Amino acid sequence: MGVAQSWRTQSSRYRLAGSKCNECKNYYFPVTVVCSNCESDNLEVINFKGTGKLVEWTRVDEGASGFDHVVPYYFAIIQLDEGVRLSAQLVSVMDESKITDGMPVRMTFRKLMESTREGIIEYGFKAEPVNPI
Amino acid sequence: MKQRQKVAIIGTGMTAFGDLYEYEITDISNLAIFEALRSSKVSRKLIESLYVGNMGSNVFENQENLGNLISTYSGIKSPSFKIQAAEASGAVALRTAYKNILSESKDIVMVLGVEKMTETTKQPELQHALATGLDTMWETKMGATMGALFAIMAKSHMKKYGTTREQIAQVVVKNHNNGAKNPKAQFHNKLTIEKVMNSKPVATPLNLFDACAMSDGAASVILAAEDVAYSYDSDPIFIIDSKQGFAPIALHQRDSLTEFSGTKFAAEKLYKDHSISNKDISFAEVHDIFSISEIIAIESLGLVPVGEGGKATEEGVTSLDGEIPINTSGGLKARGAPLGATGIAQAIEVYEQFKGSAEKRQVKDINYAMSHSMGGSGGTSVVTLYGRGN
Repeated sequence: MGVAQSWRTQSSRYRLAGSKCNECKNYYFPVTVVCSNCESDNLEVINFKGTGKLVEWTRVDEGASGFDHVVPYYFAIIQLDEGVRLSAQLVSVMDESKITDGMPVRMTFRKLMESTREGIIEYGFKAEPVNPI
Repeated sequence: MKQRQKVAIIGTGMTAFGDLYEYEITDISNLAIFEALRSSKVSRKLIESLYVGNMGSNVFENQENLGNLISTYSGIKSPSFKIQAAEASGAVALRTAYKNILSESKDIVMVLGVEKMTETTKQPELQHALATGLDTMWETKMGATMGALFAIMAKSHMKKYGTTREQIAQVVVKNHNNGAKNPKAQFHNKLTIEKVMNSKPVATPLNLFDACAMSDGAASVILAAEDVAYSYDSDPIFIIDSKQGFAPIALHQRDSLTEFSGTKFAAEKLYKDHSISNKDISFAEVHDIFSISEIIAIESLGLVPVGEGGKATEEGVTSLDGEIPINTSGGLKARGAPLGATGIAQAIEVYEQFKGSAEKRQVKDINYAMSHSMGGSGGTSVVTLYGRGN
């Protein structure tokens, strides 16, 4: 991630900022400038509440570039209460056998990775179980 | 002038796939290109355009402007350019070439699919290269890998349809059986369900042997307009049609985790436009970038009922001697998956089957055939239909 991209995406990575289309009422994550459903540019920036449920997950043993030192980790697809889905790491799991489909999760602010091309320490969201497991 | 309907494959050339350390990307390209020229007896000067399907030359060998590079070293001085659609680069290049002939602007063109992956030997660099086909900001940064995304599809499919881990592994066993019969395949070894399931874990439930290996390779076809093709081949094999379908780039943006909606769209359109059904398809080459991908692909292509891809694989329906043989070449898994070359390698397998030159993996009584290629985790899909004249 370059400096400008890091700066530009901060609100979505730090505060779960997304967009709501004022015409067709569709939600988007991350922030977008045009509604891909109705083509309107009448969108407002909103912050998602950050609570949702676990849709599906996997334990990753061979990590993505920059994640090879944290394997194994859990990668998940989350559905936020507003209906939007996103990808995130699932953290604060002490017992893998207690992960269940549809489990309530909340998004939490964490460090994503340490070193990138531009030397930026990147922060963003991960998901954690609402009820400790 | 009668509107052109079909485009013929009049020449093919392909390197063996695998670790080709001794060759440059231009060397393997030339091996495929010159074999295609010899097999078709087309002179280089008649090639009106060269389409190069390649995913990652930028990452793997710090080289772009690939069309110009290949042209320079092959002596094909026609207009040339690279087409990039992740792992579907070759298939999109083939489709673009086909469409250009139909628009009557060209008579004879060449398509090359090429990838030189072994220039990168470090695992994180390879992961990075493959991840460029995903949503790098909102998937990869969040920990996604190709393996993780296909693992999520596998888990969903297992839960929704009762697909078993063994059925998923059987895809690999079958494709290695087929690859063992293909002289140009990367892998000729046979595998068992146990060996697949006991290989190194990648992302639960998938293991190393569920995935394709790094591979180098080049594959080339020469295409000609229907009216031109008969001067080169009295019984040409035709691309009847090629459709491209869309799904969002990120898996989390898709409505279903257990189907390839772009593939489904493209296949349904092919059946409808040509008034054929899945029963008319004699065999297919599909995008088995991971084992589970083949199961979902054959369902989305309508070749087996939805939810029964695993069962069909287990029961031998998709084996070489089954009702609908899938990946007779060994597929991406065993024939090898040099990313941009795979779409062209699929077309060559289809061509050889029609021509009766597939030797020990020959399918009998061929009516129509299909090839299916995808980019990323399934955002880009290309489905191509082949048949004989009339």
